[in-house]
Order: sequence, then C-alpha cells, then structure tokens
Amino acid sequence: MSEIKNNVLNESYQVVQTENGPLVACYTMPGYNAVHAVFATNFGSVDRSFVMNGKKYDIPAGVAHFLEHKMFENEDGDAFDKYAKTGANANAFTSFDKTCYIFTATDNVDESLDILLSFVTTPYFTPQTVEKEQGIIGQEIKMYDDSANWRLLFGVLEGLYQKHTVRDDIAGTVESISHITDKMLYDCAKAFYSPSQMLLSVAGNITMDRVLAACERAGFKAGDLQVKKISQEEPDEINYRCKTIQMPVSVPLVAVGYKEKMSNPVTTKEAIAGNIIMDILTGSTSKLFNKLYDLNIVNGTFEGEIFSGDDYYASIISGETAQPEKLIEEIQNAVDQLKKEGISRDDFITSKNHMYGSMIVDFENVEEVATNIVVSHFKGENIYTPLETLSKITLDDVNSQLQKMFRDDRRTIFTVMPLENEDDK
Amino acid sequence: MKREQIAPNVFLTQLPNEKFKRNRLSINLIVPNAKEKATMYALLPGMLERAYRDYPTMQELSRKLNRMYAAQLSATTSVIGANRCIRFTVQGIKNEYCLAGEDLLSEMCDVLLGVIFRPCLENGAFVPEWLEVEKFKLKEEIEGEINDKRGYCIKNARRKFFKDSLNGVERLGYIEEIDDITPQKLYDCYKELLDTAVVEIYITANNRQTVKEKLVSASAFERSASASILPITVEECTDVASHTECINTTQGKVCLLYTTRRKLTEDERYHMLVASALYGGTASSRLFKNVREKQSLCYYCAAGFNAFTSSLSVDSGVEHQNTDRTIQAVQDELDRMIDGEISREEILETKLIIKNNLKANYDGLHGLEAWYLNEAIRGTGFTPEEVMEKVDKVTARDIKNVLKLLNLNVVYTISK
Repeated sequence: MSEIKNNVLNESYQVVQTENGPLVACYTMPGYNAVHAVFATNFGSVDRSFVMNGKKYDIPAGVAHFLEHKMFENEDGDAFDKYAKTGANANAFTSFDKTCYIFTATDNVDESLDILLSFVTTPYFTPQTVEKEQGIIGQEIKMYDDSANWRLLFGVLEGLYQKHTVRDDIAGTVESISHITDKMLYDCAKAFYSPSQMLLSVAGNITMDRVLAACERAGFKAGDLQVKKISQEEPDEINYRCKTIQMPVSVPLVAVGYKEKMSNPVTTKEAIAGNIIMDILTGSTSKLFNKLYDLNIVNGTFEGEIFSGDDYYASIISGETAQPEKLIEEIQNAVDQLKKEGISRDDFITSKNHMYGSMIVDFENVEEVATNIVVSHFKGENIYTPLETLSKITLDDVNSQLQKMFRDDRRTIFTVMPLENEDDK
Repeated sequence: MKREQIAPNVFLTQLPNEKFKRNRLSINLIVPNAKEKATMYALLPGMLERAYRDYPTMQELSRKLNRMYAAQLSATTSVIGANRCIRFTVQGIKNEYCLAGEDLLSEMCDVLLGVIFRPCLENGAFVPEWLEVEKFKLKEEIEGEINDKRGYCIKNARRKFFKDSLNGVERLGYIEEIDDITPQKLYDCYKELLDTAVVEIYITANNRQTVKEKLVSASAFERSASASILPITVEECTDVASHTECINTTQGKVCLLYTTRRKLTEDERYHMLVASALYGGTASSRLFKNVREKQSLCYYCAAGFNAFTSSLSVDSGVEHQNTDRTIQAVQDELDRMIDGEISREEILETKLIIKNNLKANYDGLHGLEAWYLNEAIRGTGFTPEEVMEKVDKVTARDIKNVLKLLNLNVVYTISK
C-alpha cells in the first residue's frame, strides 16, 4: 500500500494494487456523509482499434458508450434494480478516453460496492438486448443532434482532425451503432473490462480496509490477456478551414479551433500552461472578453478551452454571437497581439492565482476527488500532480508555449447559423 | 444551524463549515414576484455584479476576484412559486490555503457588500451604457431559450397553464418591456427592492464572527416599507389542453403538466415527495423502468414536482412518431399507480434514495444553504433529518391518495 501526500492541503490518500483485481485508490474525507465510487476502464470513444492476444479488432464509432449502457444488464437482472435496494444514486459515463461506472451513497455502501464490482465485470449480452439498446441509444444520439453546442464541438473537431477518432461523436451515429453485435461487445469487454486492467477510486466517508474487503468479496480471477490499443497516425494539417451548418437556434454560434502540436503523450505541464494562456486570452479579465462583451458581440457563453487527451491538443474559443465575422476577426487580432507582446508577469500571477484557487476547490467534493484520481492515475500521475506542476510553472514556460500555439494554418472555424427559412423553425 | 433576526425582516443563518475548502457568503432578497417588475428583476443582477465603486469596471472586478484565488461572485434571479429571489453569493478558498497570508474571508465580505450596496452610478442612476449592454444580453437570453428544446417545451407547458398568474411570472421578464426601462427606473426598482425585501443572509464559513459583524452592521439600513413572502397558491385546474409546436428537430419533445386540485397539507407534501420520485424521479422509477426500458419509447422520461406551485411536470424526448404512444404510456403509469398495486419493496427503495439525497445536502458547500432558504420561504424550518422521519412514515395509501389529487391540464408537444 502506498500513501500519497500533499503538504499544501495537508491531506493524503492510499493506493493499493490488488491481486488479480483493480488498482484501488481511497481518499478518506472526514466529516462527509457520502461515498463516491468510480470503477473505471481506460476505454473510451477514441479507442477504435486494438490487438488482443495477437488478433486485431476494429470497431465502429460508439462501442465504448454502447458497452457502458449494456453493462448495467446482467443475466440476473438490471444493476439499477439492485442499486435501488441500497438507495445509491448510480450512473455511468463514457468520455473520449475512459468509461466510468459510478455511485454516490450515504448508507449501505458495502452492498453498493458489491453491486458495482460485480455487474461491471460480468458482461451479459444477447442479440435481442443489443437490438433494444440500439433504439434507446438512437434516441440519445438524436437528442444530441438537436443540441447546437454539441454540434459546434464536433464540428470544430472534425475541422481540426483528419483521421483521429476524437472527431467522432462519443455515442457514434445511428448508422455506426447498427453494426454493433453481442459478439463485438463481448470482445471489447474481454479486452478492457478484466478487473486487473481497471481502477477503483473511492472518496468520502470510507476507509481503504472496507474497499479492499469488497474486492476480496468480489473474488477476482487472474486473467491472461495481452491487449494493445492502436492509435491513429494524424497529420499535422487540419481537415478543413471553415464550415457552416444551419439549425433552429436564435443566435449564431461560432467556434474557432487551433490544432496544436504538443508532446505525445501530452504532459500535464503543457495542459496547465495552455489553460493559463487561454485564461489570459479569453477569460473574464481579458481585454478581448471585456471589449466584446461591451460591444454586444459576445455574451456569457463566450469561452476558451484547452481540449486535450494523450495524443490530441486543441485550443478552442467559442460562443454565441450576432456578428460571427467580427468575432472571428477580433479573436485573431487578440491572438496576434498576445503572441507579439507576450504575457506580462502581472497577468501571469493573476491567472496562476486563479488556477490555484480552482484546483484547491476540487478537493472539497467527493465526486471531483474520486473522478480526478481516475484521470490522474490513468496518466500515470497522482491527484496532486496538477497542483505541484502549477507551483513550478514559470512565466518563461508559458511564453515559450504561447509562441508554438495558435498557428493560422492550423485554424478551423465552425459556425452554426439560424435557419434561413422561418417556416423551417 | 443558527438562524436569528438581526434587523426588521433581516435574518442571518450561520452554517457550520469545518470540512469544505471554501467559505461561502450569500445575501438573498425576496419579494413577491410582481409581473410589472419582472423584467427589471431580471436586469438587476447583471447590472450589479459587473462592478462597484471600489472596482469600477468589469475587468477590474474580475481581476480582483482572480487575485482572490478564483473567488466566485454571482448574482442571480430566480422564481420560487409566487416569489422572486435575487441572490448574491461569493465563495472563495479558506484563509489557511492562501499563499500570502491574506484574510480572504474578510475581502469576500467586502466584495459582496460592495456589489449590493455601493453600485456605480451616473447622475444618481445606473450607468446608461452598461444598462444598454445588459438589455441587449437579456433580449438575447430570452430569444435563446429555444436553443434548449427540452427546457423550452417545459416552459411553454407552464406558460399555457399559469398564464398571467403570480405563479406564471417569467423569470427573465418580458422582451417587449426591455426598451422602456431607463437607468432611473431600474435604480428606483433597486432601491425599492432593498427597502421591501425579506433578507436572508447565510454564512457558511469556519471563522464567522468577523464577517457576521460586518454583515450585521451593513444590514442595519433604514427600511420604511413592510416586507412579505407570499404563501403557496394553487391555480384552478382546467380540462386538458393540447398544444403542438412545429420545430425542425431530430427528436420530438413532450411535456405533461399536472397540478393538484387543492393546496397540499404539510403531510401531503411529503407524500408527494415519495410519490413523484416513485413515479418518475429516479432511475428505478415507474416511468424510467416501463416507458424507457420496457417499451423503449424514449431516452428520458422524468417527473418532477414543484412544491411551490403544486405542479408536477413529466417530460420526455421521443421519436416524433412515438409521441402519442408516450403520452398515453405516461398517463397509464399514473393510473396504474393509483389503481394498481404499489409494492412495499419499491416504496422502501424510493425512500432510501430520497434519504440518501437528503443526507447529501451536508456534503456540498451550497447544499444546506439552499435547503434552509427553501424552508424559510415556506415558513417551516425543518432539518433534513426531520424530513427523513416524515418520509419514513409515508404509506402506499398516502401515495395513491396524493396522486389522485393530480389533474392533467396541459400536454405540450414539439413536433416536426
């Protein structure tokens, strides 16, 4: 068992690699009522090709998410029905790089842990249940199709990436999920859901002894699998410069994206430096935001974000605007000016304080703590790494990264315009 | 929890905060939700939170907050039944985490009082240029409600039923009134709000004494008018009115709005809490299990009860061709709960989930404050534990009886 400590917070948590079972992390939080548990696999929507025991598998868009839905159903019933008997709030989510099964509970935590560790490692699929789920997920996909912000994000990602699967919707498409079979789901579950590949992260009113006892009760068996993900070769160039679609929205939405070239895998330092740069360029204290807000070019939806994973990194600035062209011009001017003048010490310290405060806040919430442990450990780090990296980052680091970013030839613009024909509304 | 009256119609509640990393202060101004002032109530938060005399531009105040380690200042307007609540909050990390030994809690208090009581003025009224910006933003926000089709469908179902009643006053006001609002008119509304509101102050902090003194002293201003909070009122039920709006969407939306035929008694409130959760408030509810999982009619189908308007809305995202079947299935499930069997087991399970959620109020910085504010507006003041006891006593018969009080008034559909 290892104890990971942080002196700023004066806190620590424990990590244990269990025999035949998952890596277990437990962050005991005195004074809290609830326990939040995350049972996670490093299998997300970007993972579309892998080799298992020497055989290559290619899967369509949306399998990780589909699997997440189907894992709740076992031969002996539905996991939600089992959780209902413990009172836990259970759910799951699939992101680009992982799938997490979660619950929050104040009572009957041991029973809820037993349910979690059991259903996630006991796949059960039939052609009939797969077909039924295609209907439900088809509805979910259609719901997101009507979301202008969702379409904006995937529009800009499609513009930036030629091949990388990060450009595909996490849930896939109605067409792509129609190719999913029970056999395909079993293969993926075998490859990515064997207990020893997974991570169990628990935070709140709980101790490591109780979590380990739950793993003991689960009785995980040793597996003998060799699984290797195959990542795509993505060119440096973008896919397209600009694209516009129409939807029933009241105001246009614009996203300006820059495809950035960083280390592979992207380092925590690069992610933090990017966030500081983006805060100074587009945040609430920036000249850009304040000017555009008072000129009624943007509203509170305006934001800049660093969108990154192991092998992708993009700077995306977006928001609603009645003047898309003016907004794009102002963003480019602000980028050019910042790169020319560099970041001042004063702006750097203000932004660093801002980020430090935001990181401290993440440690007061059981959900955030358990989830951030998963994120950091899948990167081979620990939950305190971002805080420690931030404290060491210098103005030179940030200015040097700024010069590599926001290249005009790697910029794409995606716009969602209101429908032209009012009758279509 | 300690609630005390510190001035006429001004109440201060202190909440413990040993475990959180941040402190939080909030001041809530509560008034009856007058329709003619709704648009001004919607404009005020934006006007006040952007700057005050010590930090007289939006950029300077943002910079101050960032320097305060990402302290978050917010001003919001919300509708709670027939009342309006304008809420100002500030939250920031505790002093022990500050890198240079700052007294951040005291600074937070200064910022909070600054935005409420010392706004930037020009010729004795709000700054005209700022007002024009906020008016534009409000227009955009009202026009933009269609962007969220799910919320839009629920809002329209409510509009069709509550119409011009106090329970139906729009949170964001009315677009046609925006142009007529002048800096002076809005400033007068602001002064009247300070004069007439019931004020609920919450301190969720680990070192409360200093800020308490500052807040008590700032709250001792002259107030001439009397303040009041309106009680829960129930609208007269109607026959079912169906409305269909055509929007070019991939997925259709439907909302069924029920209200109770009379005001619920205090006990019935808790019966409805369990009944609505069992009907459609959890992932093991009747609507989730039967309409979504068994019949595969939709991705979501959820019920939520608003105790302040005594209304229950059920909303769902559906394939356009499945809309009618979904509407029927939602009603059938309700009938089955009223006429059929409700097992002891599913009641126990639902109570467990509710009690779990009630306990979780203690684990969020905002949780207890939101809880006690709602209790104050209701005029009750129960703790989450007291409500848990009431929940425990609810029976199948209670659930059936309270559901019988529901009347379907509106079915609102967004179709192709």
